[in-house]
Amino acid sequence: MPVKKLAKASKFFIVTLLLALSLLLFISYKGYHQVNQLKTAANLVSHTLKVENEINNLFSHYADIESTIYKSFLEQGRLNPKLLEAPKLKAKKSFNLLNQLTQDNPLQQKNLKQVRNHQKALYKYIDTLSTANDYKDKFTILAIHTSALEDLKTELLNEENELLMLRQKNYLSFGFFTPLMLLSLSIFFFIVFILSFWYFNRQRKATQRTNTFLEGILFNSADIISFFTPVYNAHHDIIDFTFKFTNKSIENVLGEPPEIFKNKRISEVLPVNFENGVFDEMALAAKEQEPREFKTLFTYKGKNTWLRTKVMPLKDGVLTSSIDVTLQEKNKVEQKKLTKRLEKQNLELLDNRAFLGNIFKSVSEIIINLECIRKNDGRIIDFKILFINDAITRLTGHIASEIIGKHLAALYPSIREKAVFSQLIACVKDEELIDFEDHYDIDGKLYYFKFTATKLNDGVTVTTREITQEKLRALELANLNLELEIQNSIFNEAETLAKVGSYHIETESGNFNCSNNFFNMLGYAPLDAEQTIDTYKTLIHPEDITSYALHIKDIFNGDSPEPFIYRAKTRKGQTKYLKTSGHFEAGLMKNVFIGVVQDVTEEIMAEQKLRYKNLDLEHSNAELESFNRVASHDLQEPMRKIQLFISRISDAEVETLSEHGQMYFGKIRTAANRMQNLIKYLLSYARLNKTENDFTQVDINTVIRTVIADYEESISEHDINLDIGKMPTVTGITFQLEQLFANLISNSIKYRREDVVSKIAISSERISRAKLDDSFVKKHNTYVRISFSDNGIGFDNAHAKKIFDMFERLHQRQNYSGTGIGLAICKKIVLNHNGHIKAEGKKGQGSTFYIYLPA
Amino acid sequence: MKLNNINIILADDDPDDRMLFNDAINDIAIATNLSMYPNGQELMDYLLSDDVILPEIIFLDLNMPIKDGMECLKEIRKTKGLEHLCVAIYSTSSSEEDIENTFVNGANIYINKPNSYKKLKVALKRVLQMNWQYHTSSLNMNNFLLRL
Repeated sequence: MPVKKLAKASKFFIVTLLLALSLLLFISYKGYHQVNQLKTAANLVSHTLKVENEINNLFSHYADIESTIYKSFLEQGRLNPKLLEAPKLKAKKSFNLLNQLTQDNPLQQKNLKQVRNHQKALYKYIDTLSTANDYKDKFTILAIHTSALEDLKTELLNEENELLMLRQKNYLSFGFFTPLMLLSLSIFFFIVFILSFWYFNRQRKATQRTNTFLEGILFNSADIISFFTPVYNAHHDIIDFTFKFTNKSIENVLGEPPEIFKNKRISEVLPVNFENGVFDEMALAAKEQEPREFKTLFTYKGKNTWLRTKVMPLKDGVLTSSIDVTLQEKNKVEQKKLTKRLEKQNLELLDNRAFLGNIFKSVSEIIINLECIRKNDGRIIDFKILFINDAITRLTGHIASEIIGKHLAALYPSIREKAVFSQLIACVKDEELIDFEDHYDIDGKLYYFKFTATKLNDGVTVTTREITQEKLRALELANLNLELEIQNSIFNEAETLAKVGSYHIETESGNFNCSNNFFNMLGYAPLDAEQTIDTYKTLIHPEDITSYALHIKDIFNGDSPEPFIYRAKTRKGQTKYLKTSGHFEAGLMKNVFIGVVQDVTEEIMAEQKLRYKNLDLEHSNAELESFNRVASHDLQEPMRKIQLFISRISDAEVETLSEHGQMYFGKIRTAANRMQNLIKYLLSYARLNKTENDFTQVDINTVIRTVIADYEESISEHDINLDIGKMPTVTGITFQLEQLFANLISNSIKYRREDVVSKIAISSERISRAKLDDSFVKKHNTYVRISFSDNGIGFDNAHAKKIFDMFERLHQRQNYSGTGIGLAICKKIVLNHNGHIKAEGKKGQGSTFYIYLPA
Repeated sequence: MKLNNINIILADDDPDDRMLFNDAINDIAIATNLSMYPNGQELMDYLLSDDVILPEIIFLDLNMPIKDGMECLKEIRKTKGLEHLCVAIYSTSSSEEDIENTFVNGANIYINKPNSYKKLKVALKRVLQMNWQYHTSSLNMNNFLLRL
């Protein structure tokens, strides 16, 4: 690998280079030092010269002062101090400078001190000069001072000269050494430069190769590789990064070519990185100089991309490498979701298992999971029971847990012959849900089962349900249905026969339904006419249509209207009378009006006929009555007269008649009496026809007492023995009941036997309707039976019914004077009282009349 | 006409009945003055005439031509001066209807024409000897019909 080699080579080279550099530095230092020393040496020489010069200056100033003094004295005779001020100042300046220059030389300083002392002395003396006259000797003293100063000057100069000598020597030695040194350095530099150039050139070539290689990697890499340089603020904090380089992969994420980003700040082109933390990471990496790795959601132009980014700090920036992990991220999310779902499903599965377990326990169905047992050739020969629930126990007595794992046919050998076995095999083969029913004879009882089989792996799941009850119920239902159909048919038949149609109206929906015969009655087949009320209305007689509409309106208002009769036209144009009635059902069908329509044409016709007949009858009755009355009355009138005259004759004239005449006259009287009786009875019979509505509570005891009182005479005359029991009170008409008993008593008296003591016994008892024979109409639950018996001549029981007929006589007129109306009247009275009368007789022994009256 | 005799009137269209009634009245030992009218109209004419002698008792047949007994009875009970007359119904009819109607209209007694002369005499005797004041004050449906 060139990179590795390069790295190794560079290490070696760096060490060499460092050595060379350090050597160079050392040599440079040395050179510099040499030059410096030379410079110092030169300086020192110049310094010494300067000092010498200054010394000369100073002493020249002193000499100047001296000369000035002389001059002043010479010109003015006295000393003008003002003239001295300028040289003094110069001397002072020079002294100070000298003092400063010789600071490093103690010897010279000492010398200078002496100079100063002398100077002081000199100046002091000068001050005295201004006042002195005799200046000659004074000049001497002055000269002493100046000479002293001259000595000092020499001393100072000597000193300096010595120093200069030494320094010049020094300088000369350096001057020789330094050029040599510089030459050798130059040669060394040249060699190092040549070497460096050679090496760098090689290195450059290698780098170029590496660069090409790296660029190849950069451009071909799927990673987004970018290089940024940081941007600092005044406090040296990183505030931004500048794109220096980015590879093509950025286009995949941002959709822009990399050139766009070059030299742009991320705050300009990708401000999002300040929000998603990328900038902070980069800044941190740059600051800490440590690589960082992180993952962010990168949002650019509405597109979300998950990027995993590595930041490598480089010397002057950071290198970032980002991988688009959106897919992975998505997958991760998906996977997370999937895992969650799986967990949930797992939990649900557990729940379901528990639930299923409970279901298996509680259901009545037998649930079996079977696995095929195959022969080598793949044929299914049996099933292994993998699971079975407890429901099996009820049926076969097996404990579910004991038979799990066993073989089905081994357990129930007979199953091989059953349809179920082949069905199970078929289910496995065809992989279809199979549903079938079968029945078994278990302990002599027939059981029906319904099987549902589904293939599961190499086996089947079978759900078996006992449906014996359902089956029986279905059969029962079918029978019931049949019965219902029959009944329906009977009903239709009956409707036709009874001339009745039925309908029902659902008042909420307005639905109108009618039976077949509803329209049939009018000659229409049920489908001839649309079954609506409106079409039906068209068949109704125009005079009745208003009433019918009101009737229907009532129904829709929820009222049950009164039954009502209307006319309708049949298909053949005949008019029929129809009676409709109905009611609302209570309970669930409370909005359903159930109506029946009956063809009452015949009844109406019959009624009309009856009414006419009744009118006729009433008419003829009235006629009859008036005839009866008139006849009776008008007949009675002459009859009475005949009797009156007969009585007149028999009272006064009968003796004048011959014996024959008297006999004939007697017969006339008898006939006349008989005639009158007949008329009287006829009249009273006719009167009974009138319906008397004044029924009251009648005490039979009183009635009988009254009648007996009326017949008192006859009873005592014929010595008749009466035995009368306790009688009840009934609802009746007093005079009719009196007549009833009167007739019976007079009958008994009339038909008594002369040879025995006549007896009449009357008794009563309550009797329930059940004990009565069916020969009379029983309208009441209890009756009073009054028995009226005598020991008279009686009658042949064969005539028991006949004796109540009008004018029916069982006896010879000669013997008994009956009219033949009495018992007819009795019967009529009893019938008027809603009762019944019958007679029992035994010829020659007596008769008994039973009167039944409602209690 | 004897002044102490009982004045009675019979209104009957039947001459035989009038004759027998007259015979019977004469046969019983009570002194009477009997006047007879063949119909109700003539009776009323007499009763309303100025020279009428009001009778103690009037026997009134019901079935009569021109004006029947019932009309007469009603008129008598309506006419001032006649309303207190004693009226005995004398009829062949024994119908409850007739008995009831005449009772309601104020007749004093009801006599069924008897079918023997003996009975006729008994009946007349009893009626003529009747204490009318007592009878009328205690009159009811039971004693209204004269029972023989």
